[in-house]
Amino acid sequence: MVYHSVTSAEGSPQACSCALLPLRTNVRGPASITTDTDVVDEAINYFRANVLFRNFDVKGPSDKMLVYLTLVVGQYLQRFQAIKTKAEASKAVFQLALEPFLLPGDAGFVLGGHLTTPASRQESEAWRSWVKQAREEMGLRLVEKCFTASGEPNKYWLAFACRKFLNKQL
Amino acid sequence: MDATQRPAAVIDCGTGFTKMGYAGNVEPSYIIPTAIGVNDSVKQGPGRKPGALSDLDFHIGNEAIKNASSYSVQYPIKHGQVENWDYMERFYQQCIFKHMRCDPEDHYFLLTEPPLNAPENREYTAEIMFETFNVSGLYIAVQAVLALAASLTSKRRTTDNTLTGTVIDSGDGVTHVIPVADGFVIGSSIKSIPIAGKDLTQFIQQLMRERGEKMPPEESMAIAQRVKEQHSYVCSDIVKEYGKYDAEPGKYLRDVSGVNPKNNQPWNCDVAYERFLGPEVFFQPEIYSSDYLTPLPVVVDQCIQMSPIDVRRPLYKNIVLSGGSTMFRDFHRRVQRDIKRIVDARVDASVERSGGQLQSQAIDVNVVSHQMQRFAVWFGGSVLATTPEFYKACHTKAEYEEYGPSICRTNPVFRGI
Repeated sequence: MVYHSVTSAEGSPQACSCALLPLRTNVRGPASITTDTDVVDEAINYFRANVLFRNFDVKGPSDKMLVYLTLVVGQYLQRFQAIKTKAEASKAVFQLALEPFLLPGDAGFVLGGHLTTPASRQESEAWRSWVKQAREEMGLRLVEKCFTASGEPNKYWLAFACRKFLNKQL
Repeated sequence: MDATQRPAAVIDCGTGFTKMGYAGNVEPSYIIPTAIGVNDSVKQGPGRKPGALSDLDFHIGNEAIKNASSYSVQYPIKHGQVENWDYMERFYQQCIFKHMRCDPEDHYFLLTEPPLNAPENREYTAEIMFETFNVSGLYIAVQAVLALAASLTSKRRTTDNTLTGTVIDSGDGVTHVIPVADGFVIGSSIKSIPIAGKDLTQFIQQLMRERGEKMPPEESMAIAQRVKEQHSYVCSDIVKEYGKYDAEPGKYLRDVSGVNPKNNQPWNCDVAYERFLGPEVFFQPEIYSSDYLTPLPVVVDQCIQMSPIDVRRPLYKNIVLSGGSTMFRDFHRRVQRDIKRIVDARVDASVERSGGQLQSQAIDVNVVSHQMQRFAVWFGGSVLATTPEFYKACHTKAEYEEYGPSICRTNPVFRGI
């Protein structure tokens, strides 16, 4: 069975049917701050299990965010594949965080069927700024996972770059 | 000396391997591939007759595979059923004379058959055994029943000596779930799963390739098989298991090494998550296959639910494993836990639907694992053939001569042990 998000979506704002959950981060952004395990941790912890599955029955707004973030992990791993050192990886994370990304409702957005199209510009902006913050935070944490303390790539993590979660890719 | 005084010969011919030996032994004396290498080059070409000795020119087992360049290697058994009786007869011939080295006239024979075998096949077998080899007596047993008999020797068994239980038989090619009540197979509820040892090997190979392990390409299947046989185990939860590897990599990571036979270069590769992800395919086929998605414990539950209602409890109580692909560490624990969850959920749901008026007795789920799993069928045969009842249940040479091969269409179930 796939692993679902256990973070409660209660009290968190929602956009495009996703919950904009609190994050444990120093990155600037709109998300409220928590010190507990957050949805980014869940996406990273469950990634190596969930990525093996072809189906995911979404159970709620937190799960929708988990699905999107799992795809983001995949995107990072693909970037890391060609990279040899940790320093370069940190640079790549910074670059990727600056790159624009597709929003729900845009043509070519991979989770088109799962996330609802934003009703207003505000909703779309709320989603964009929260995700931007989460993506940056995720990059920082993933560099630690995918590269060893001595700066070598960790092949046990990077092996999962070839797998496509739900047959989709960002 | 009478043939009943001598140990019976037990031969279990499976699709992949034939196990043979004498009753009363703990292990089969020979385990050889069920393969025969025949020389049919002499028969080719119009007007050419095969040489006088060409039907004696063949090899079986490992020798057949070794001589694959000059002989054509045939597998007389496909999906458990004999496909070519001529090859099978010659195969038996070398089994008896070359490997077991016995005089078939002096021994009783116990052979095995898959569940739902046609009675005609038993007649053919009887013809071969009595007329070609002149055996003293013959009994043809169903493999699943023998696997059950083998489990009776396990210390973990919970039932008394009844031959009732569900057999999970997983070899290299296919996995069967077979319910047996009092020694009779419930044919209508047999289930089969297209996932077995070969698929696990392929999945392990795929995982190792994705990680970029430097394996010699032509050896990669053999390496994956080695990883499967020597390092794989069943975990209780994938994410927790990943956590253990992250915390203590030294304790869980393994490596395999060898020498490339082509260029004599040594190779070495790491073994990581595939240790538990391989056997996980049985429990979550989705991670490997896109068209077969039902986990093994669900299939076992469906199989028992299809069986007559009065045997369901004993079937849950005695679930027996047989075959090489059930040998993973903790396999029985995981099967038992998953079936128990399904069963308990169903019982709770029915209690709830009744509004608390009906109380049900908890269903006892027990999966039995034992030391003899790899050749459980042969071992069960070896145990049963030492009992005095065995000689009474056998069809004898005299009966065959009196009535003909039709007497072997049925083989009486007897209570062993």
